[in-house]
Amino acid sequence: MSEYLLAADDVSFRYPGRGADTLHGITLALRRGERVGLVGESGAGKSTILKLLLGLDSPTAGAVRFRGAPLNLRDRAGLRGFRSAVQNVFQDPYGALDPRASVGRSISEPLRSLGIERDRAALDARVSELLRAVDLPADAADRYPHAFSGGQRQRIAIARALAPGPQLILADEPVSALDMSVRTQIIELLRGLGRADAAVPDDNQTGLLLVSHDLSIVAALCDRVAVLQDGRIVEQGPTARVLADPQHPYTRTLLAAIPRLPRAEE
Amino acid sequence: MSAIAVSATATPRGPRRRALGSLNLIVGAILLGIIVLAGIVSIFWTPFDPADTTGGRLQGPDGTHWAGTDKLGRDVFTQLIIGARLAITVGIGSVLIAAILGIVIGLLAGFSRRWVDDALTSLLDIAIAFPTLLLAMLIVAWRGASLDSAIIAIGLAGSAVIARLTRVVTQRILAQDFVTAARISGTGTLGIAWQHVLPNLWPTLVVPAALQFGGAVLAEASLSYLGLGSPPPNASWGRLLQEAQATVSVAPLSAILPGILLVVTVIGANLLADGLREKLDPTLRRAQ
Amino acid sequence: MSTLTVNGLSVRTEEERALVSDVSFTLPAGERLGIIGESGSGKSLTALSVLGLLPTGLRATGSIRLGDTELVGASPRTLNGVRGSGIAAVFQEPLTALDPLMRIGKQLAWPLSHHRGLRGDALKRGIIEALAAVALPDPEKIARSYIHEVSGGQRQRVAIALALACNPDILIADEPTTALDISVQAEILELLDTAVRERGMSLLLISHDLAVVSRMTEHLLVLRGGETIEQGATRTLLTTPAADYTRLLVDTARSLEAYLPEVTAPAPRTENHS
Repeated sequence: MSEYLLAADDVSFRYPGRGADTLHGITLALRRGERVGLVGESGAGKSTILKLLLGLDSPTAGAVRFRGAPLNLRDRAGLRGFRSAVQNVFQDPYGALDPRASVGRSISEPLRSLGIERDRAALDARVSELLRAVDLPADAADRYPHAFSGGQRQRIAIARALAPGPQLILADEPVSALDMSVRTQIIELLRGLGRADAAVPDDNQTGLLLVSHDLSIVAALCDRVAVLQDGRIVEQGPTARVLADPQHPYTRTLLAAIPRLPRAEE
Repeated sequence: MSAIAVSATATPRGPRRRALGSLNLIVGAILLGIIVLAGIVSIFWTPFDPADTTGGRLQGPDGTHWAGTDKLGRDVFTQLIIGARLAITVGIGSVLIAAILGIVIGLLAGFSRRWVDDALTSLLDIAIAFPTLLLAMLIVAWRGASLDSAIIAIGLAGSAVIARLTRVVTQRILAQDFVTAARISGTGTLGIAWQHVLPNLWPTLVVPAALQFGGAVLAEASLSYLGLGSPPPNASWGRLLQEAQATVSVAPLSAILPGILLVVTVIGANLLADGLREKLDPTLRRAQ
Repeated sequence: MSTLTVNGLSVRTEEERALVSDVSFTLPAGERLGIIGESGSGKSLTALSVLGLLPTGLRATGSIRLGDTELVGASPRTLNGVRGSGIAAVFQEPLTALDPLMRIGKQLAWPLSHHRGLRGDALKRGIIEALAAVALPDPEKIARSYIHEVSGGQRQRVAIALALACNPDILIADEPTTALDISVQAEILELLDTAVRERGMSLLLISHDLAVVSRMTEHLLVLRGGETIEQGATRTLLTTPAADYTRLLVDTARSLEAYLPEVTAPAPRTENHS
């Protein structure tokens, strides 16, 4: 498994006091730079998988492996390495930023907290660089989240996730709270991660785990997709194959349920 | 979605309430400011020595004794502005004790796992149910009747209220995504408490703290009235009220004035609290 | 059956800030109109104006006529009458329309007895039929349940049943599927489609989702920042949008859709039923 950057290895999870498991034997592995979509509806266990993959909780059974070794939430030094390699973007751009912290402080938080950079001037420089990367003006650093729109906040959140130079970004429904016209911009931004010709060129080969209920966004961003239903992965494979030739009835249901525009040429 | 957002930004009473809020804030600040000023002046200057009994007993107000004299011939105005100083001391002292203790306990409970939180919450419930007067009497029995005893008693009683509020707000803040983001950014528990919880906590606490200020002054007056405060010549308004009670028919002013000042202080603190509430209310602020 | 005519509708705040400016449209009896817009477009306020349910502090001016009845500035009594039988609404969050402390059957009883004069056993049958009509499984059990005991999709079905119980001429659906899972969304849209068709109701569908609106309606009104951007037949707007903004919305939706495999998309609704 060590060829994988992050992997859920036969992971099950049960919330304390619940009668049944929320996740049943999830196996999902991400290579360096890979983009994987995790598709499912409410209650399927998407958020729980994310929580485990982010090292915010431990699985009831099985293991989350980071570079092959089981993730130990008590190993502080190891966790620091993990945190700088695996970052997250949230669904709700309004809740994800501390309303009382300036944008610059929010973006530089991982750098400061992980001890990557302490020098004031270097931090400021890195923050402006990150703001530029997500197409925001450098003076945004001194302002507070309430001065920004939902799409702009999501850019700020992405800048924060990029700050420690992560190898993998987990994104939980990153555009579903945004207006249609803003969505494509954020999708383009995420698409650019890890590509040399992209809006945010980096040599880090940043991978992506995109959690969404929306197959078209997963199709736009991911090479591989896993379909989650009731805490189990029911289908997994290359995005093009799964979309073109879904094997599991649930995948077919999801595909058929997407509302489509009438075709232009009709 | 947009309907909800719009209705929040367009609260009809928004502008009017904000205007009222600033009016409250201004009037409250003026009322409280007068008392604070009087208290500060009394540190450096009083018309007479508070222990000076040469003024003749129960004199009415005149050019020399602006508010008359008491039954021992001491200047009432002098005692009133010293009372202002004591009232401010009581207010600030007990609110500080309540805030520091309350925030620490509240944060502890808010961050704790289930059973520690349960234990602390039960303790707080008991503390809130415990009568302030009884607590004050216990402390007076232990340390003797003094202003400090009153401040400690009132501060302790207030801390339980602040602690319970802090706990609830802390838990609400901890459930937010930005705290999870901080954790993912590698920020530890102390860092989260300091950088994210406290800054988001204080707007909620400022209003009850201002309310407690008025409450504390009133509570100290009651304690003094019952003889649990410090005696003249450095007496608080409550004690002055009690001293003047016997002679109220002859010299009503020395009973009425401390009462009026008490009311001014408490109303000032409450208006200030109301004004701050309007100013800090996030739903109103978003509308701007 | 009556036509809904909105003419020069504006919604302003107390400070005279316009949230909706001079919006006009006509919804003839039995037809379907979609209002599309992003957050802050005024689409929901337009719907609330028609319902006479603007949040306090917001004021509607202009004219909203249902048949011969003017609704702007109408008495609460008139509005109540209109809301009861002329116009019914389904919102994004069904919980806001439903009473958490009352059994679902009981909530349905009032409109059924009030509008259809059902009593006793007939009322009981009416309740079960109303729940069955929105394809709720085991309607007897649902009637006895409280709203928190049923799933999100079922809640929206109950809210639709409640709206239909008044036998309205016009159904206003404001983002009725936005809070639902995608597979549930398809079912609810199907249900709305059938209900509106079978009862010959008019439909005013408000959504941010172009695909949803175009699947359901033959006319579209595009709003942005409270102003009308464009208005016309759904098919025309989707194929040859006149306004840049409409084109942006269509292109965005199409560019995302382009990632999905081709399917035999349902034909757009046309005015073939009239």
